[in-house]
Amino acid sequence: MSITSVLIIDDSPTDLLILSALLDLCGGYEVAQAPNGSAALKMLADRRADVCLVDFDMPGMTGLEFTIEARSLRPEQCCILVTGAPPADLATAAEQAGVHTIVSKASLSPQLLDATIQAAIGARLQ
Amino acid sequence: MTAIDLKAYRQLFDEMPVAALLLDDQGNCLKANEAASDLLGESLADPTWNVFEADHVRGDELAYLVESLRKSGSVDSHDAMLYGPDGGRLVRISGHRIFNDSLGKHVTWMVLGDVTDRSAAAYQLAQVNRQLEESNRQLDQFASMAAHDLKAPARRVRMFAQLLSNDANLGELARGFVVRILASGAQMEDIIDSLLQFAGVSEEAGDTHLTAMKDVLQQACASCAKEVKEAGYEVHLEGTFPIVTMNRAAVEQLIVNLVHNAVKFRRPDVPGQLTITSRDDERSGNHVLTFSDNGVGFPNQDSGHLFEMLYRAHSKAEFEGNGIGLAICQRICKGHGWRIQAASPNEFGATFQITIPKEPTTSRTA
Repeated sequence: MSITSVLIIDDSPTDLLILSALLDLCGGYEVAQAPNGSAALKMLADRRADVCLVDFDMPGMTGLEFTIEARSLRPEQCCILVTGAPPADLATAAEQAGVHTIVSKASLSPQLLDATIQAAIGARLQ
Repeated sequence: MTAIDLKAYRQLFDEMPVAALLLDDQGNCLKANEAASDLLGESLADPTWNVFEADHVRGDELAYLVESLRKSGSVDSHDAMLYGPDGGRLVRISGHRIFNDSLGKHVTWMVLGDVTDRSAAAYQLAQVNRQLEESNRQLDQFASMAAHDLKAPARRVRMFAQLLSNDANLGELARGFVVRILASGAQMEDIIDSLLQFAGVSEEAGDTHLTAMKDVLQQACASCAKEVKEAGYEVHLEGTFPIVTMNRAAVEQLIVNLVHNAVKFRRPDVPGQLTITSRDDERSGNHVLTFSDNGVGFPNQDSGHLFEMLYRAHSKAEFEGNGIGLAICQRICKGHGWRIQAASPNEFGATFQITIPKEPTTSRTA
């Protein structure tokens, strides 16, 4: 079974912990964490991540801004946006930024996260 | 005019509580009653009193009016500040300039009503209303912010409990506690979501357009379709529905809440059914939308309280819920100038009736 590398970007240490623990439960993931978009971009310059799980609402660089930057660095970069309280017009802005999927933090489970990440990787490979 | 009439008019003039003056074009006071003397703070019986020569702060408004009346002939409800010995008084003045045959010259009648107290009361009322509006706005903002900030911690509690439930080493007792944490966390999130929704519903309808009620009903029912189907429930629309001015998103929310309410309070042993009908009230011409279900209903003495925030007609053990959904319904109706009422006259079933005032532009659609 191949290992999928995931970079989680969230300014909340608690949410970083929850997302990492959920991926641990899924199994088959190698997880790295970054507390903000700038730090994550530096990490991506050194090593690839199959998927970025990025929080939408972060101070400084938002999840959408991070996605645009990450995809300008590496156009095939797959980004999944996670959000606690999505604004009404997020879907359009996310699509324009190149976000693959939006996931609500309220509905996260190991199964949902695993299925979403695998679907995103599958879509990229097609 | 008879002598008796004249005497009666003089008595009326002298004793009436409203200040009255008779002035000539030069501003000389020809006649004044007692109320006028009281208001202006000096005896106007003195034939030498002249508005143009009077103490500046008391007379200048009257002098201005005499000048105006010379040009226009009459003045109605002119508000002016007059400063007497007791400070400023707000006075509402009406006047009329006429030619007096017996005097052989033009004279001006002026009636001065002291509206200071009335005005101060109106000002205070407006001030209190402004404070109340501000206070309500701040309360809404607080509810919205508090709910928003509570949302993340509540979600995290539930998520950690969910992670903990995956621990194979957890004992039976601890697992039972985790299940309770999960349920309580979900309930807390549900309350927070409802509070956010309540705070998000404005007390005014906001962006309104003429909209076909049937379209909104169908859209709302479609968004509840999964819940309705899973509960083995049926929703019927009957009759013709009006086209009315509304905030579509808010009214859709209103209908979703009523459908959700009907499904929640269904009887377990009876196939649930909600019928939504529309009719015109012949007497008032208003549109009346009725939501009738065959659920458990509610005690009739609760009908006046059902729309209160956090009010529950049934215990939490009987039905889940937080008592916010119907409060949201009422807020949406109030914002539109509509009225919502509830009744449960029979042993089973509840009826929610929305009265929509007739608009000149409304019509009906199939």
